[in-house]
Formats: sequence, structure tokens, C-alpha cells
Amino acid sequence: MATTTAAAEAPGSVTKRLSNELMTLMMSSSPGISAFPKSDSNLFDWAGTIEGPTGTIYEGLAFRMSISFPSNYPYAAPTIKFDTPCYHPNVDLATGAICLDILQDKWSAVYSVQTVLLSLQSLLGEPNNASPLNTDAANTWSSPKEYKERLMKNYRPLNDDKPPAGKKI
Amino acid sequence: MMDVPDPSDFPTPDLRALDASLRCTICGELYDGPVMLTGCGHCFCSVCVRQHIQRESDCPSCRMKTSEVAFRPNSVLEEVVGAWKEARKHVLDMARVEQTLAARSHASVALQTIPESSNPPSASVTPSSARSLKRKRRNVDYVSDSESSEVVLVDGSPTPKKRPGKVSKVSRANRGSEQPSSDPEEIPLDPNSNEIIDCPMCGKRVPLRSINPHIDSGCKDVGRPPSKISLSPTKARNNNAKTQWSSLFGAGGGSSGGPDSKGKGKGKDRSSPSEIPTERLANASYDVLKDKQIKQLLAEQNLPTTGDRKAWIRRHKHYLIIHNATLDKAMKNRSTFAELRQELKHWEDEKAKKPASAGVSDVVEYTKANDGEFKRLVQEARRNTKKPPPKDASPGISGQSEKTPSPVAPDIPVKSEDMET
Repeated sequence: MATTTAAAEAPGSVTKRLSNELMTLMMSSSPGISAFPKSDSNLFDWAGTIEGPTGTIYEGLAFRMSISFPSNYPYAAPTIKFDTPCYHPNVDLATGAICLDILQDKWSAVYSVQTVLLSLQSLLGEPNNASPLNTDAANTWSSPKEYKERLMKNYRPLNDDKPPAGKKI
Repeated sequence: MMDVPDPSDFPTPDLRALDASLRCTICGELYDGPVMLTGCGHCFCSVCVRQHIQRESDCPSCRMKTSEVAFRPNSVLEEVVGAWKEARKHVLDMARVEQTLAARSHASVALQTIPESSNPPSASVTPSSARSLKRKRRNVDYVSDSESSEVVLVDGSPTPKKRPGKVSKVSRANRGSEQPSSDPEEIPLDPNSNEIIDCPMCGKRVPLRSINPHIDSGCKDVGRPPSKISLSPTKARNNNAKTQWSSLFGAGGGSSGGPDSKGKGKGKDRSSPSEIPTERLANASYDVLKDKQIKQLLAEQNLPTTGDRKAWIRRHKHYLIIHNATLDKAMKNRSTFAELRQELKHWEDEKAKKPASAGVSDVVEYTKANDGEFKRLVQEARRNTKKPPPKDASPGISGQSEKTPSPVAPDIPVKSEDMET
């Protein structure tokens, strides 16, 4: 409880809020999503995983994400992208960038890592084909067999030989 | 990792929900100077929503259009949160004690009631009934000490086998109207009886007939003082709970005596009101102001003028937020000018730390420094991925084994099922 005095001095501090979110994520059972800071020293960079929702074409697949928080979080949205290649109409296959309104202009300070990861999880099964980043995926969406084929061609399981952590940093 | 008080500290969902409902959805902390947005009615810490309103002009929860003029201090909520802050640690302690007791008596009650299957009510061993049994059993011990006429309920030397049956009667009588029962054997709740019960609020021993006036009086009127004071360990625990509860009520009641009085106004000397802000500060249009004028604004608030123009504006803006936010609190909870400046400094220090700690600039350095480690991990991973088949001996679940965290990346988030344990 040594931190309580510091917390009392700085209400609304970013680190406090992030530790709070971490605690909530750890204590709540949100099936198929998880997130952790990449290192103990830096709460501003997290790694997350999303499992494809059951009953969708993404079922059984797991995707690693990287989440980085701006210094004025939660007033500004975190930057989230897919580290695992994700063939999806609203995800850029090469960079992992995500096109989702709540991560841009529709962000609100009451959202959290948990709510965003849940939104992304449901986005997997319900893409917004009206404004695609990956037009190829948007066009293929209507033919599931072909879509699954392309999805699996690009997919890389989480514990692949080349962990993104080793490549990226 | 630091210790973060949050709703999950509590063992039961009802207390978790209570704690969660008193937290700002922006910062996740217990409300600090809560304001309500007129229009939609959502509540946030004043500081939180004032920071939000600098960028957006809507409610963070429902996106209804709003502005600073729509903020109203929610003084009732402020009081509730203040009382809860004081009560929280006590409730937490009590909830945990109760859980351990329940777990313990759960085991013992289960043992005792198994042979007595002819008595279904007492044989139900849900955690809550076990807990109430435990409490009632304590009660029974006391009653045997006093002269009350209802004591016939309890025989002098209850055998473990007989006990649960007796206990359940007292328990039912105690709950009274809450739990009407058609059991013909039941002893009806008699408001005029001399039975002594534990007050559910303060734990004091109170005659049943005066329990309502006692609770109505805020647990001050004890009715008739207990005739005997048992020195048994259970009594000691009971007394402990009593002082805990009474300190909770003391905290809300405004009495400034007692050991827990530090919650009041942080013990500040309020004799000089000039140290506490009373006037709201207006937003400035920094773009049209000259450097000199901005410095002037800072000087008016006794703020430092170090750094460049950008730093001055940032400093003044944030000072306005915390200054106006503290005005949304009750007088006794407001920060003094000195404290506001301290808070501002703390905020600036934290802001200054951020870019460095984000570590974006030294990626190359970091990669170089840890290159050996990465290579080692990659090699280890390669070795590991070759191993599993013989270890698992079933190729069918190889997809499963891929998901389990291996030493490849020690920072891989564990799946949520694993985290809960």
C-alpha cells in the first residue's frame, strides 16, 4: 500500500488507471481475451491476445496484438495493431493496422483495454465491409471456403519459430 | 507491480458491485469530487471530466453534448464516497474474516449434520447458512449466560449432535419476518420476548424488543446493557467488530473525536480560509495572448514560469482544471493553494517521465543489448518445438500444445483461464 500516498497526490494519473485496468482484466473472466504489459517497468506498452469467437470463421485461431498507450490516456485512444497477420476486411494485412471507429474518432475515456479487445473480438466475426482496409478480404467474405483458405495462408500460430517480440524490438 | 485497490478485493459479488458503483468510469478510482452532467446525469470525477472536456464536447459515457457549464457538484455522492472510503478497509477485513469463518464452519457443520438427516432445515449447508449458523451458535453461547426466559431453547450442555437443530430455531426466530415458515415446531418471533440478539448493524447485544429503536437511533441506544460480559474469545471478536462498525458510523456522523478522525478534512488547519480557493478561474484564450500576458497569468496564481510558451500554457491549463475541480468539492475536502501547486508539480513531473519510460527512442540500443538473449530464446524455442510430439505422444492435440506458453517469449500473456487461478 506504499503507493496509496502517491495515488492520493495524483488523482487520474495514467499509471494508476493502467494498473487498475490490468487488475480488472486479470480478475474478470473475459473468455478469449487477455492483455499484459510487455515489461514490468513500462505500463505503456502491452501485448494482448484475442481468440477468434466461436461460431465464426476465426474460431480456433488466436491473434497477438500490441497495444500502446499515449501519455494522455484515457483521453486519447490507445494505438492497437495486430502482430499476428490477420486476413480481415478491416485490418491491414501487412502492418496490422485496424480500422475501427472507437479506436479513432469514436474513442471515449470510459473505454478500456477490456472493452476494446472485446470489440475487436466481435469485429472478427462481424466485419464492416462498407469501409474495408483489405478490399480483397471484403470481396472474398461472401465465399467462406475461399476466405478461410486465404486466412489460413496468412495466419501464423502464436508460438511460431519467429516470435514477434524478437523481430520487432 | 503496485498494489491497486479495486472492486475485486472483495470476496463477494454484492460488495464488488458496491465498490464498482462508487468508482469513476474514467479513472477507475473512487469518485474524487464527483460532478454530475446535467442533461444526461452521468457522474465523473471533476478532474477527469474537465480533462476530457478539453478535447471533446460530449459526455464520455453517452456522448450527449455537454460543456463545463453543465457540471454540477454532486455533494451527496461525495459524502457517500467519503464514508465508503473510511468504511472500505473495515468492510474488507470483516468480509474476509467472515469468509474464513464460513469456510471453516462449512466443513464442521457438514460433519455434524450428516447423521441428522431427519432435520432438513439445518442440514442445508450453503456457505451463507453455514455462516449464519456460526453466528447463531455464538449467540446461543451467550444466551445461556443471561437470564432471559427464552433461554430454554438451549440446554446447558448441548451435544454436537443436537446443536444444529437448536441453532436453527434461534436462527429462524432471529430472522423473523424475513423468513416466514410453516414449521409447526417453530417458535414464533415475539417482539416482547426478552431474548437478546446481536444487533446486525453494530454487533452489540440488544434485547430483541428494543432492536428497532436501537437501530433507529444509529446504534447508540443499547436498550438494556448486557447483564454479563463473557470473556470468551468469541466475545472478544464480537467487540472488535463492534468498534469497527462504530468507527464507520462515526466517520459519517461528523464527530471529530476518536482514533479514526483523521478522515475529516485531512486534519488541515482551516482557520485561514484565504488558503483555500473560493473563486472559479476562467479559461484564457492563449492564442491571442502575448508571452508576457501568459507569464502574468501564471504569476497571478503563484505558478513558476520556467520552460517555454508551450509549457506555460500547458501548466496554466492544468492548473485551471485542478483549481476549478477542487471547487466542486465540499469545503472540508478542498485542496489548499499550496496543495494545488504541489499536485501540479507532481503532474508535470509525471508527464516529463513518460516519453523516457515509453522507450521508443532506444529501440535499436535495446535490440543490440539484448541480441544475445533473443538468439538464445529463439534457439530454445526451436529445440522446444521439436520436443513436444514425443512428450505429448498424441499428434492430435499438437494444435493445443502450440498455444501453451513456452520460454520463447516469457511475456506472452497467459490465457484468461490460467490467470484466474
